[in-house]
Amino acid sequence: MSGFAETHVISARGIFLLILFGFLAYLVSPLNPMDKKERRNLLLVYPALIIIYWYLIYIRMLSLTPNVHYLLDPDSGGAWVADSLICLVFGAVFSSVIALSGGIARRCYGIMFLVTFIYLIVTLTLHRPLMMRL
Amino acid sequence: MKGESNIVGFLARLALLLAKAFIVTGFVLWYMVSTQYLGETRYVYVPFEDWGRPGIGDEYYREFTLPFIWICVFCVVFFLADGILKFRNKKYQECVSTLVFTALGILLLLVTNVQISNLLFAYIGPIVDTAMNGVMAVLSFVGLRRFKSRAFVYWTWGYSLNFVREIGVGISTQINRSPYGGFDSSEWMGYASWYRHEWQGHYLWNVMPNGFVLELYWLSYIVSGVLIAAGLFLLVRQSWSGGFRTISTCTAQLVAVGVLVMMMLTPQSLLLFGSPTFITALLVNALMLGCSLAGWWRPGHQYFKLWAWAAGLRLLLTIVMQPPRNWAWPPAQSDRVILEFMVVALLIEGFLMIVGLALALRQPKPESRAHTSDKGNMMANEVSGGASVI
Repeated sequence: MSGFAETHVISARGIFLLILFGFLAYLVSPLNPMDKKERRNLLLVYPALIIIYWYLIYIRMLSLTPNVHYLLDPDSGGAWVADSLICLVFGAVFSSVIALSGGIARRCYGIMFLVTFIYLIVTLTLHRPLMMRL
Repeated sequence: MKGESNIVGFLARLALLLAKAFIVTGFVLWYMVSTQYLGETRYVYVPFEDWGRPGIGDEYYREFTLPFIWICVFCVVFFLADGILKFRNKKYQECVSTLVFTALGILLLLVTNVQISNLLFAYIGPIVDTAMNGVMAVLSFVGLRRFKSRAFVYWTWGYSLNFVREIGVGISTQINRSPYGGFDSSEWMGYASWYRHEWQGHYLWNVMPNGFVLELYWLSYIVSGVLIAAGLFLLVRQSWSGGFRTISTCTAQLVAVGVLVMMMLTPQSLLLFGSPTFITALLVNALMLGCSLAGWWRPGHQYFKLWAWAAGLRLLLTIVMQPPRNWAWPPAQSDRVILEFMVVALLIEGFLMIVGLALALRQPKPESRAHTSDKGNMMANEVSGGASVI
């Protein structure tokens, strides 16, 4: 018995994340009647928000029960990877949109986050917390 | 003669302020007086295991709190007289504000003199939370339609989020009911099963299997708190500007940065205070109190006064009541009393917030402008084709 079953990939949190990031994308898209400049300003915060969220919830596992907060559920290894990928891919997309528009400062800011997100995606499994044994 | 009149007016205002402070903090005072006389802890409601103890409606108990009751009655009569005077002087907004405190005084008399059933008391917290947030969300939406103000966009989202969260907590707790015992044992019989605070106390530490609900709970608390504080900030700024001014185009970005900062503070909050949202609650309520006081100071609208009382009460609760119970598991004996304070204060706070918003919505509707440079209301402008702020 391996003790590391990764059967579940789709989780409620993953679906919630897709809806949430879809809504965030809508907020900065031309479909939203907000001022264009304001949408561009809002977009700047997204990568930082996603990194902090991912770090707190997926690395520090802040949302888990405090007395087992350092261990993943045995079944949730696959879901952890899938949910992390959703966060990081959306972060990379938002960063690339920033990097492809605006002045040099915005480009540098976007590229910095883009590189960070790509690094995290490539080395994702290295960051996965320990799981409980079955 | 004029000097004497000024002194009398000043004394009357001072007495009114003291009476309001008494009504808002009355429950705490009542509890302190009762405990001082009786020399041991008493509860508003008598848990099942404590049936032998005197309840709140008992004569034995009531005689100790008689002075408190008479002061409370005097305050209610004082408020009524003041309300009638203001009504005769056609100061209708101030009249409503005074009558709110009359109602709070009557509520206080009821809470401290009528035996409340355990079940009802256990349900008051979640019911008030759900109802208050629902009503605030609806009223904010009405305000958005009426005034086309971005402040109400933030409030509609913030209170809707709170409303959905409160319902979700109830449903989630019903679904995850008691896999490790607890609620089914006689120890917990005095509580309704989805009593929110017990859910926090019990499920937060023992039951939650994957933390998903907790994550939603904390994050939605942070997002809605920042949205509501930002909405109040915008309302005050717009009131200061006399109803129209160019507002920064960064408000949405600032809200997002606020959420980011609050998220970054969650680990520190958890480590230092035992609750991930304690710092958020502290900062948001302090900001709301500051904004309400600023609005009370300059435009002087009645609804800012009511919101200032509500925010001050919530801030007081956060600072005084929350820290001692964050680290305690199993809950200390005093935890139950703290919860009672919090439930009653929640009732008062919700009442003040709702009446304040209802008063704000009674402001005259501004004339719509076909062309405007008010960038802060750009979203509302483009949706509706008009521009106005409260």
